[in-house]
Amino acid sequence: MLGGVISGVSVNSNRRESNAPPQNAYRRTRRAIPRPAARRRAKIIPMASLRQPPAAPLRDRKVKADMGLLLTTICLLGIGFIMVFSASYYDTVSENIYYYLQRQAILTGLALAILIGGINIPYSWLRRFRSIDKQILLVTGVLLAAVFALPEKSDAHRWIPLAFGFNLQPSEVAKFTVVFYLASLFSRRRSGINTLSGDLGKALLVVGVAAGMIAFEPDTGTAFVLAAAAIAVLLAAGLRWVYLFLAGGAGVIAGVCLILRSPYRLDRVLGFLDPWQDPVGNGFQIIHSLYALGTGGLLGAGISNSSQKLILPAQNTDFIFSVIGEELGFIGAGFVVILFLIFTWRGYLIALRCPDKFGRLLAVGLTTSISLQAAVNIAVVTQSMPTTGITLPFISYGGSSLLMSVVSVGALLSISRYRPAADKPSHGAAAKPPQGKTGGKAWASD
Amino acid sequence: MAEWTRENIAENTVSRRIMFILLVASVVFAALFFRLAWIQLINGETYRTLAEQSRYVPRPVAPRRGGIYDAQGQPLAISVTTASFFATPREVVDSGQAKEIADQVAAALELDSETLLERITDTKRGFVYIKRQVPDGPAAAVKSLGLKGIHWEEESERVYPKGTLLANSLGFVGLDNTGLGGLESSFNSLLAGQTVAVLAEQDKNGQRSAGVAQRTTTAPVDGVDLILTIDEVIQYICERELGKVTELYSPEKAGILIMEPQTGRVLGMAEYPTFDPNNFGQYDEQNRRNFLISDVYEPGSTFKTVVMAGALEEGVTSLNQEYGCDGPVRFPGGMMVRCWRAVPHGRQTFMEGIQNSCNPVFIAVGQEMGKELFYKYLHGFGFGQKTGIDLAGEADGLVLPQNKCQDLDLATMSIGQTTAVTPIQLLTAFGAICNGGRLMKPQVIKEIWDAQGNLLETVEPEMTRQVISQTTSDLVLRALETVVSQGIGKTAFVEGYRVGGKTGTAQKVVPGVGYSEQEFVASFMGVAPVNDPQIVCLIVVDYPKGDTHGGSAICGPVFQAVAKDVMSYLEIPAQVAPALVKATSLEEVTLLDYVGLTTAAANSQAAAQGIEITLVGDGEEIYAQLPLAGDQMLRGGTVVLHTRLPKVPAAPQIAVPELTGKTAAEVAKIAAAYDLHFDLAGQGVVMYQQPSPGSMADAGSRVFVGLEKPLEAGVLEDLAGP
Repeated sequence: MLGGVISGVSVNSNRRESNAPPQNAYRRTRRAIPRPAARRRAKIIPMASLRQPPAAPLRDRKVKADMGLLLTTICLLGIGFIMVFSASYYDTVSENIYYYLQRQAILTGLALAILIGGINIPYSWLRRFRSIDKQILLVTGVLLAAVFALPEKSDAHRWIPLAFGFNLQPSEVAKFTVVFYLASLFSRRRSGINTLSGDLGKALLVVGVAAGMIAFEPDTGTAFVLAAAAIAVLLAAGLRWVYLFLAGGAGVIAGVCLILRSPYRLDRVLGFLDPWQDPVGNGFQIIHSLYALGTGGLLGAGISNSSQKLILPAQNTDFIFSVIGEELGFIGAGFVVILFLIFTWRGYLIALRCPDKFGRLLAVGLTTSISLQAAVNIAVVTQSMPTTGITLPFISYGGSSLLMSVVSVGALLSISRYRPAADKPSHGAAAKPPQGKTGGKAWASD
Repeated sequence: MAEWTRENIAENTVSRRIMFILLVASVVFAALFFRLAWIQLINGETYRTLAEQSRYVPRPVAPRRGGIYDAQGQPLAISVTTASFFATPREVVDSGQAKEIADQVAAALELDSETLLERITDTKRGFVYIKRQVPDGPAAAVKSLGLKGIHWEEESERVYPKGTLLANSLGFVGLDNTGLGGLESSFNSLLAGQTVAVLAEQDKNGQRSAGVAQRTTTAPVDGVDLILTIDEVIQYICERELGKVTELYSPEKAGILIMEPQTGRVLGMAEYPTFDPNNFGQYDEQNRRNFLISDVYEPGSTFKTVVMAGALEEGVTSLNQEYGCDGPVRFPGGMMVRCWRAVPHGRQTFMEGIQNSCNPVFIAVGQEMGKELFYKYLHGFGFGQKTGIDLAGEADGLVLPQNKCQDLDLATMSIGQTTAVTPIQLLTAFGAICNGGRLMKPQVIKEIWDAQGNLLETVEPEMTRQVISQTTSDLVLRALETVVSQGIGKTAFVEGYRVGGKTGTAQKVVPGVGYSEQEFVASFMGVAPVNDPQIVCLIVVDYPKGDTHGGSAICGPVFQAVAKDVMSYLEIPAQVAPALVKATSLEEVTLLDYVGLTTAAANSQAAAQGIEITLVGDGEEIYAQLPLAGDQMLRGGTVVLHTRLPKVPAAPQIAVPELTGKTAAEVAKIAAAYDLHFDLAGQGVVMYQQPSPGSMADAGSRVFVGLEKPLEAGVLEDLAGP
């Protein structure tokens, strides 16, 4: 069972912490638990649990932030730093070949600073922002509205220009703040998640408005990711499945409506099914993305040797994964996929470990947002779903996307630092899951 | 059971659901991982191949088309490079100096600045042509400006500096650098070189990627240069004389073919009508034909040389055999063949029959030979089959099949009708008759050089077969000499040289009617000098208009003029004072050596031998003699004795090219190919020139070229050749 393995690993990486993952309680309810295993575990646990008073859920303890998540993120940032330069230097070869490298260097520096910040920010400090969740939401709303007041760029209202040619992309901000608001909302009360007139209604309104505005920019991909992250938060918060299915149905209807409203979306779907039908139009990007990946083969053409980057539009943003595939081959591209899988696993693990509901929901939302965005991006590039303009987190060139992703990681790192010991009796030693034969081995292998 | 509180149940739900989400996410990433493997590893090869194909846009890079030069290396067809300018609007706009760029380019290329600005800033287009085929001068000006977004491609243009000279044999080159006729066509693959589709990678703006992953597979291979056996000067002489005769008689077509009998090398091929390959589009297809090799005709009496050679070789007859000419020769079925002369020739020897071109005599000889022997020589001399000359479009000729040949056919064939030949076929056969019986393959290519200046191939003379013996050849030559000295070929007499030849006046075949009474083909086929044949020449005038239509009257003088100038050009020593040849006596004497003697001593010695002498110059001592000592000469002939050495041959003559309508830059380009000095005055295109186009000028002499607009007085631009 996946759950068993994961809990085993979690303990493995924090063996002195003697934490009690919540799912242990769940196991207890389902299984007849052999006591000896629990007792053996209990011998180790009290040492740690004695150091701290049990019920102090919001007091930070000196626990290291999740190094797995941090290293994965840094790895992805490093790949991004190199590959953005490799993918885009040709665009500026006649003026300043290092244009993108310089900008990406600034952004990567900022990103590392944010990560360091994230490691050092106590969870309690992060949690304090709950009190101004509505204000944060309001600012987000203003930003989302502001783009429509600004002139179009690349046929879309997506950016608010800042200094030095950098742009703020409010939809990227919204992905973070909406999740933050939802986490805040559903951690405040225990009930209300399934009451349409209560919190669920509020949540749907906020998500609907935000995703709707983003979809109108138009930025369907980001709207989709935001909505999906919100659904993940709702699910984690205990939403009834039936609502999800209803929402899913509504989503399909909304999707159909969007396609009917803007025919280009339908073209994208058609382009995805058979790109060779329109090789110089809708199919162009996908075809050249496949060419790039195919050319890369197993070992790749070598860094800077991509040929498709000369032709492929958005080769340094939405389609940077194609360039990675061509230059680093399946070895490199597959490694990126694995990094995102590790990221996803660490992200949800942080959520699982977090004893505080706010932190847990926030971690679920942020992890989902980044992982899903990565999955969608890779799916698009590999002709696994219709084309939607969405960046590859940490890797694609783009300030807002990069910084907001890193801010999310910062928050996750901060959450990872917060660990209860035996803060809740019900999660404590007594509730340790006495394992079956397999489970026992997992524990024993610590 | 604290675990069963509501809160715990909620907590459990949260954990379960996070686990569920993680599971879904893992499945998604695993799926993407396999999808990636599928694309990169399983289908990788397919996509890679497609990518390779799509990446590179083939841009044909034309190699330099090889030139065609005459035997002396004078250019007859050369390729010059012109530049075609284009702009990439995006670059122009990005430079921020679109206006300045447009102004400068417009000034250099004489374009409208505003229109140009509009075009070169049309960023919707990847590139726009500014001007194509810009000559060197303005092109260099634009290139030196170094403007952003202004690019050019070198394009090749074919130039025929001598205009119509040898045009029908040279052919011409179409817009796609493909030879369309003559040598340009038959040697197209060699001349064109290998056009390589250079695969130039393009970026998303439709531009060639600058220095990044650009790829060419192989360098284009430049075309070879052809050195012809044809000599520009001989060719010019032929065309000049052809011009005269066509002006007099306005024939349908006319041609002069000169060949070196020992090697089969063609020295000149003049044709009328002709065309200017520089503007080939303005001429009829008829003008561009190379009829000397592609059209057949019934040769008439010139063909009698072949009959003569065969009959003498087989010993069927001899030059002293007597024949009678008593009017038409009758054949079963009421058909008859007349002699060309209304009054019968009466009794005559075969030799006299040849001199008179008497039809009944040749009919009799033909009947004596019989079909078998007749066809032996018909085929032996190569009639009815291609000669294999290196020119496209050669015709086979028409020979009546032997099994269908009746006596009447044999009779008409004996006098040169019925059998249809190409001029090149006839002259090739005649070359064999004159050179001791060796049928040579006619050639127009002497050497092939590659673009780097390495000699690739020297075309060696190629003998097809030995047809007759040297003895027979000598006999025929002697008989032919008497045709010119005593017979109907007197018009072809070349002063100072021993020449032989045969006239021809053939009736043309009118389809569906038979032989025409009005349309003739006049011809003359000659050889010079007969004691050591250096040239054989065939002059054909098809359907001459006017009072006369005979080969003797029309073509004899042409041969006379051509042979005289050509032999002088080839520095073949003058031999005799022809008026004094006494051909009635065929006795030969061996000439003594007169050089070093006094004029008086020479006189007495010559008198003793029965040789007459003509003194040239007023000196006392003999410095040179013609023919040389040891040469055979007919008794009664004249030796030319020089008391002063002949003048040093004049500087080689060069045909002045046609310059009218050319720009100064183009003139400069042409000048490079000539050993002439071009004095240019004025601006714009050439309006007049002195000497006039086509006339002969000494090498190194000056050609004054006047352009459209005069410059300030006294400004002359000297564009001297090398």
